[in-house]
Amino acid sequence: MQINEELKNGVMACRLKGEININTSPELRKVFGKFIRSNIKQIIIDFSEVPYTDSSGLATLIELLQRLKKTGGELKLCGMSDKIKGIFEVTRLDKLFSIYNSCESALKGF
Amino acid sequence: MPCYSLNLSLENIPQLVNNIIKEINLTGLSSDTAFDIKLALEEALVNAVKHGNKQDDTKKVFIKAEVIGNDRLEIEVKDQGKGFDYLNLFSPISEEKLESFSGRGIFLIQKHMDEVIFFDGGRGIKMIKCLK
Repeated sequence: MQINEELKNGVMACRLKGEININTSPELRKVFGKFIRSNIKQIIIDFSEVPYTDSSGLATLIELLQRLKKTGGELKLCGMSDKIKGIFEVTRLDKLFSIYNSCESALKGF
Repeated sequence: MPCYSLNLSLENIPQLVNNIIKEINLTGLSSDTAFDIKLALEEALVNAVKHGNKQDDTKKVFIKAEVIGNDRLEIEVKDQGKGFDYLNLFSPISEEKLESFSGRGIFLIQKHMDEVIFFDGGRGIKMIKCLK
């Protein structure tokens, strides 16, 4: 998986490309850990080029959300396909995360 | 039809899933159905390796996939672990479990396959998908 990071005006825009699965979620977890240690408080994760996630991906995102909440930070997810959005809905994680259709609208919310 | 008996580790699972799906060779399958099958199979294999076999790669995972009558896919995954109490699964969508890191694998399988049957004391799972 490719992880592209762009920090602009204090907001970390993290664009993912590829599948989130049992092999790639540890790498994602390391990157998120780096954001937390760098005291980044506003993160957007762009799923536009993520065709698939499994439960390990959900766990990694939940961990990031919890760590961010402790620092008073905020996490937004955007650009999800219908199938991935469906996973968040069926697991009720759409109630936990702020999910936006477009990343432009996610950015506006900060 | 694929039938495997493997000493499987977690890092080999995604590639194995892709290989099995190719081998099943389901032409004309909708991308949604293909996604559902891939997700369920991966979750079942992760459970078998991680929770069933406790990542002991001297233990085997057995996998069988079969298309029945062109309209139904049946996949069985079985580990060599101790089994588990599949009659008392916690709900990962309950308020107290919503933020837990684990426990969504079986739930996702049940939501993405049409029928799920546990057997052999929970060592085995049979997942059925109607093909469209």
